[in-house]
Amino acid sequence: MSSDLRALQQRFFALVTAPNAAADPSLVSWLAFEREEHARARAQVYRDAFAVRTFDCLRDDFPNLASLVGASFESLVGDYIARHPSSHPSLRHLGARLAAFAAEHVLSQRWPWLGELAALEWARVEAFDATDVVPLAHGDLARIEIAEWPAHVFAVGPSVRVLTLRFPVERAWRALEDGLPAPEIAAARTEIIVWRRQLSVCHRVMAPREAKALRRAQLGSSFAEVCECFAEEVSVDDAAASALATVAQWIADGVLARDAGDL
Amino acid sequence: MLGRPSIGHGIGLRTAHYARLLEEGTGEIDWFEIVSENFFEPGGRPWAVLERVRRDAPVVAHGVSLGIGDTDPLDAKYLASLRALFARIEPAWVSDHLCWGALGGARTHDLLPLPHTEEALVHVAARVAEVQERLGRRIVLENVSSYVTFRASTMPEWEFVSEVARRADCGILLDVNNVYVNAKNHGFDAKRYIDEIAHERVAQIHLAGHSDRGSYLFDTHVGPVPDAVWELYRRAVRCCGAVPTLVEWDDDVPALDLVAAEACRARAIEREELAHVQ
Repeated sequence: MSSDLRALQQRFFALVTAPNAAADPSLVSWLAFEREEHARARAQVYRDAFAVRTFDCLRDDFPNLASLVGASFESLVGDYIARHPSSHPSLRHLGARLAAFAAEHVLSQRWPWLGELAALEWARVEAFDATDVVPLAHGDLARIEIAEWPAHVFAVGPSVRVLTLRFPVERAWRALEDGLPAPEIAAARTEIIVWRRQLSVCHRVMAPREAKALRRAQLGSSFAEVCECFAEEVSVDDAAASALATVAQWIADGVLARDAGDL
Repeated sequence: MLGRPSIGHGIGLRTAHYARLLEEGTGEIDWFEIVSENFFEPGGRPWAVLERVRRDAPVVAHGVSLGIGDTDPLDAKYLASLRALFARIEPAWVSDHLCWGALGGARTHDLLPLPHTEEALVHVAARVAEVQERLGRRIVLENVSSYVTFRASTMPEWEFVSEVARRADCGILLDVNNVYVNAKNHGFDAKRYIDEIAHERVAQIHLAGHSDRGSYLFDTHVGPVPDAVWELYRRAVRCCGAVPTLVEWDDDVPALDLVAAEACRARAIEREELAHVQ
């Protein structure tokens, strides 16, 4: 281990990332400047770059969360980075834990659904970055023999996320997206599907039984098992019809992927 | 002497140009440089553009997260991702930066300067050897722009960069704009840097713009290449000969034609200077 080099990097790392720049009392003792204020000004270049880089990254990934909390977003970001510094080679992953962090942050006392709004925005980021697949087409269904339908497994696209939330944050997201103030929203269990259709990220609220069916499909359940999600309120025949209509909707939306068995 | 593919003058592959490249191809641009980390996840529009570009022109992979000067252990998963990417896109060569950026597993996502010491030389050279072993290929390292230097340094930057390349048997990506920026920020002679760098190790050149912030220059890669950087480039060509050269323009990215014109200017300057030499 390079001890002097390590020690220098520890000192410089603290200078760049720590909230209080004045913590290091004598920069000229190790940075090559004659005057302390010059050393401090040049160190600030790195501090500013670090702050701007992390702030911009999270604001781009959580635009409506940033709109909601306004000027407080900067302190939210600072608190978050101090707790969860970036550990991945790519900044794309920086916001992975912001939803859980925001849910516990002091700002959530004003907006109890703060973490869930962040979860929705992060799901959209993940959907955007998900691997490409060929979407299943309606015509592909003709290749499934009638006798094979009950055991057939539909492949859900890798961009699909199913969120179960305590608040209908989709309403707040929509208002903020349209540049409007977020409405006051009361607790109400909400299921949301997030997915990518070609290059556009989409989301919509789902009925609980559709969410249950989609989760089963994600786990690799057969069509018959997916149908069971619809059978709790209607007859078996009606359940199959509802399941078929739902699968048709998923295909139209680009939620299902063509896998090797469909080719 | 380092093998130096003669692939001409290129530009960075940037999202602002994706639509044009998909529709019209690469035109007269000799080659493209990608940011390696942006292509770790296969798929999406970036890959569609990359595959289109690769049909017409060589591609070079330029990373930003290797952390060759970090004192943390090398990131095996990251290196595996690089290796997989290189196997897929077959870049003409691969590069990253002679810097550090992470500590204790926490990343700054910045290109932080190293002290120019014997200890840092030994440390970096050993890591380059290990990286080259794991990647199965030689790498090229870029001199970075900086805003501070360290009292611990015992040699000028050009000597440090050259010695890393010699000891580790790797290439140098000579960023002429960074030389100019650092010369202004730290008060050394940029021409001497160009004259003294290990010319036989220079595998690629970067050109770019910067911003004047009063008491220092900031490496922003914005705007056309300034005249002073073109002048240094002429000197670099006289010293090194024909070197694959890339124009970086990463902020307020203009139309593809404008960036391509900068690459064409680099090509013309190289011809002029080499004609004088001959």
